[in-house]
Amino acid sequence: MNNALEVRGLCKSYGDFSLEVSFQVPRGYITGFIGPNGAGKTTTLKSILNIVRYPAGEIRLLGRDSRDIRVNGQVGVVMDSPMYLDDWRLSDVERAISPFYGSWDRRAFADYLKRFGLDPKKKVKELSRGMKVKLQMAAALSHDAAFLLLDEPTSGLDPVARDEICALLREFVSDDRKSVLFSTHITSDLEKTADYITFLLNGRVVFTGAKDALLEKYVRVAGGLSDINEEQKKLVTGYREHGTGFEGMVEAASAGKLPKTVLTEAISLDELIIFMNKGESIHA
Amino acid sequence: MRKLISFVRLDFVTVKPYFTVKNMLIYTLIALFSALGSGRLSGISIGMMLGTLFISYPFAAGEKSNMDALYVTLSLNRKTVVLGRYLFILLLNASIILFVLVTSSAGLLVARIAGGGENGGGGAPGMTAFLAVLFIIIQSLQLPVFFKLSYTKAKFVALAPFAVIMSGYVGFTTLARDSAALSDFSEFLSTLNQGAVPALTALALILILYASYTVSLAFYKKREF
Repeated sequence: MNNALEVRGLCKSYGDFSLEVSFQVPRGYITGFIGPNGAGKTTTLKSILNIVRYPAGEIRLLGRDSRDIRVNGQVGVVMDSPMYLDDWRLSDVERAISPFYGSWDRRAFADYLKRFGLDPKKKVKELSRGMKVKLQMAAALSHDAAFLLLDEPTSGLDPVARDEICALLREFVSDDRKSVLFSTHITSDLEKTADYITFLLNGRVVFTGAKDALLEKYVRVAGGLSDINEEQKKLVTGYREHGTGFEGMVEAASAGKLPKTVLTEAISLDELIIFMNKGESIHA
Repeated sequence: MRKLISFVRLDFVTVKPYFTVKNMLIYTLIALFSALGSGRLSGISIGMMLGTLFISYPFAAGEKSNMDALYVTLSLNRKTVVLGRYLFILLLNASIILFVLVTSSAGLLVARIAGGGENGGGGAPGMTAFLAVLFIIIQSLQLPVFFKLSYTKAKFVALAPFAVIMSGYVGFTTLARDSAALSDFSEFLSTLNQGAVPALTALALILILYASYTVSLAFYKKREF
């Protein structure tokens, strides 16, 4: 498979936390990067961009070693908050960053600002959070980037704004040379847009592959407290009891080992994160 | 080279919000009144003092918006960032000196026409150069601190070079009064031809700037954003 990004044995430590990950982002697709807070998503993204250093491992971005930061010229970056000065006008943003991109397209930037309803005379600090994300998207899409890297771009946005961002990403990968790595907590966005998922937990990749394969690999189970015995409980990841019974998830292949009285149903990414995070066992 | 020039431009765009019409008016009036009150050299001293304060602006603004990370996403390596910042600061100093010279000349001319007399005069070029060198040395000591600690942690530490230079100046002048060696050195300088002292000063300044740049780069290379 032709990968836009290959992360092999990336290691990084901060105090007690250690990150050790390997995964790929296939070219021409959107890959969702999920995991609870503190799982190591932002550290991984910063390592890919070389904003933080990593002592071990190899990252190949668009076929080049990502330590050669010239490759960043082909990457569009959208972070949680923009790395632009609050007092800059939107026209200043273009003035500041465009000289660093050989293929900067002034018309495209102006068109995106217009499409997003952003006034070039406004200052960055006058923009809402959603507008700031759109400004970064405008910049990321105006230099013919081959790879988009987004860190929590849709957090705090209303559903309409999130849908617009997701539509833009789908539009972006309609060119099969282009790829997206999209880190988010809002898994409903990924259910709509992502083709692949990389799931990080406690600094380790617990799943990387096609989204459908992940959602087919596990099922949500629920039932009465007396429906399963202690041995069967061990099959359930993220087992939790509530007033009327229990819930959790099991690998689809193991679902047959549970009694027929236990309800099994398709699992959502949200539930998957919750159960995985709660579960003691890690399913690689 | 293209990236280096673009970075210097980026630094100018970064500090641009600080150069509002109101601020520029204040700086002009300060330069003007300093020149009219006690001569052009006083204006240059104040201008360079302000310039020394301005050097923290790109660090302050950069820290607030995590612009060091932005530089990486713009494919700027650490060397370009550090060298570009030094170039920006040298250009800023040159702009300030030019600005003060133009403003104070205009002020002195107006004062003469209005019959205000000589009032401090123009100030010797040698003293102007001395002040420029002095403040650039202070800045050379401050810059590695900003590159190592970034603005918030560095802003107080960066005041130390002022104390060091002032103590050095007091110590030097005290020593100079009593020291035969320094007196001999002064005589030696006076025997040199007119071009030698500025050339030696320029060489010393280049060495100081180079040492400062090397230390800054070593510090900045270790930073993560």
